[in-house]
Amino acid sequence: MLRYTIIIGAVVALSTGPILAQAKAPAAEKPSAKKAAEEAPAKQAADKAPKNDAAKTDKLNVTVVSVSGIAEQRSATEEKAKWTAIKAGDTLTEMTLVRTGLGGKVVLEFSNRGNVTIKSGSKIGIASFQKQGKLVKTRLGLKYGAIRAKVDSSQGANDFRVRTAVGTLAATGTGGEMAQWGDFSFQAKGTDGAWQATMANRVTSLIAGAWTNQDLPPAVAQLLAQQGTNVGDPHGGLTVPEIENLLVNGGGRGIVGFVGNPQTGSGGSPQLILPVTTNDPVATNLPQVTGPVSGGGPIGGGDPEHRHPR
Amino acid sequence: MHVTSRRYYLLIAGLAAVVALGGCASSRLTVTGENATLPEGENSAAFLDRISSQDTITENDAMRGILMLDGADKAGTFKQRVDLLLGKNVLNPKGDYDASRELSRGKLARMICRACGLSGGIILRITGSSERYCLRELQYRQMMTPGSASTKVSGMEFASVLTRADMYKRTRRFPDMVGNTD
Repeated sequence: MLRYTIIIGAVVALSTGPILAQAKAPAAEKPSAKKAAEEAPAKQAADKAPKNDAAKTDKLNVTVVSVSGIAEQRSATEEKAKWTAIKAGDTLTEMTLVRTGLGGKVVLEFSNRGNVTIKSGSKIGIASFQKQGKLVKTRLGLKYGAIRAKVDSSQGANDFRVRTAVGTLAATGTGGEMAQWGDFSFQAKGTDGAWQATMANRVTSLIAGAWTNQDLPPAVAQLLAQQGTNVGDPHGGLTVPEIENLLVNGGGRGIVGFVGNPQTGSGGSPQLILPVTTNDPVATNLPQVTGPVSGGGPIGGGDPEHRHPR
Repeated sequence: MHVTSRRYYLLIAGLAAVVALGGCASSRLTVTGENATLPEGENSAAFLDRISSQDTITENDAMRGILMLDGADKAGTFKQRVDLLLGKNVLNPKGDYDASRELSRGKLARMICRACGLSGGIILRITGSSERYCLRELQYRQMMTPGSASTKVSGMEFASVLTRADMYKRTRRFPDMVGNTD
């Protein structure tokens, strides 16, 4: 009898073991899969990072290709800087703000790594545009309005991100458009390649031509749209926390630090991310410059090396 | 029979009084804060930047934005803005306007509809650009989000709607969610 009991017990143990393991598998896979997806750009950069290359950084300039309508620029770091008209041929540096009026449009050339079209009624900040080895790192912040981004990776690796108010957008393609509206909130559209948009814990895959909210039930889309509606800097210019945020997080002026969503891990700051891509075989030894896509931090994600102690 | 007739007369007289009073109240233009001013020399880029930081937007600011759809705001005071927009047939000539009052979504929708020349559908044509149906038209066109006509408009929301209205006015096409009209 004892022998039968032992045999039955062994059979039951053997048969239920795999079932229990399978039951636990999805729960274990979900966070790791998500984490892996979020850290994909960072890993991609890490894989290509040289172990012996010091973090040599060269600041690059942005050239204004064309301007139409009302468009102005000012320094983000100078407290009393005034807005001045922007014109074709101007060179913009890091920590420069650009805003367009009704009917205005500005096309910026980011060295030989791509271009950004700022559409009418928009305001962006150029937080960072640097070359680290073969990698060019670009950080823009979009306060309101819409832009079209095109990244050219034929000359080397790019780590290109644009942050707005809500969610995270990661792209494996090379081109996309995004907008931050006061009413419809964060909107993104892939134009080339596959994209991934993350807002809070929801991840949406976007193929070319797909939108962020198109598959959501209206009630959920509306709820998302309500986020970040009543936002903005209180002084029309930049406050000290905003400047710090721009320095630390690369954008999201006016909202990061006010109404961040802790679940995004980026202070509610969404990003349009074109992760490191390269056709250059030499660029297999690139430094790791990207943190987790939705990495944590006191007021936002961003790059660990640029994160201020607070 | 006699008592009943008298009741009817009283009822009719009461209704007539209500209609007359209501009619008097809405039959003329009311402008409060006629001399209210706004920052001078403000272009549309500076205007959008300023209002995007405001929790709500006043009717004075809103009218400046609507005037900017045609270029620039050349008015010096709120009354001048009202007069300019009355001349463009954007405002209701029997409306009640207050420079410091917060703008409602319904009023914004009506101004946008009129400024953009949106004729809408049958109901909008019949009702003559009522706030309710202008709002529904703009919601249908994805120019404004769903919501009540009485809700106050935030600065960011106004900037967004104004930008879309400008895109429509320039191209006669409704912009998509990332500001494309092509």
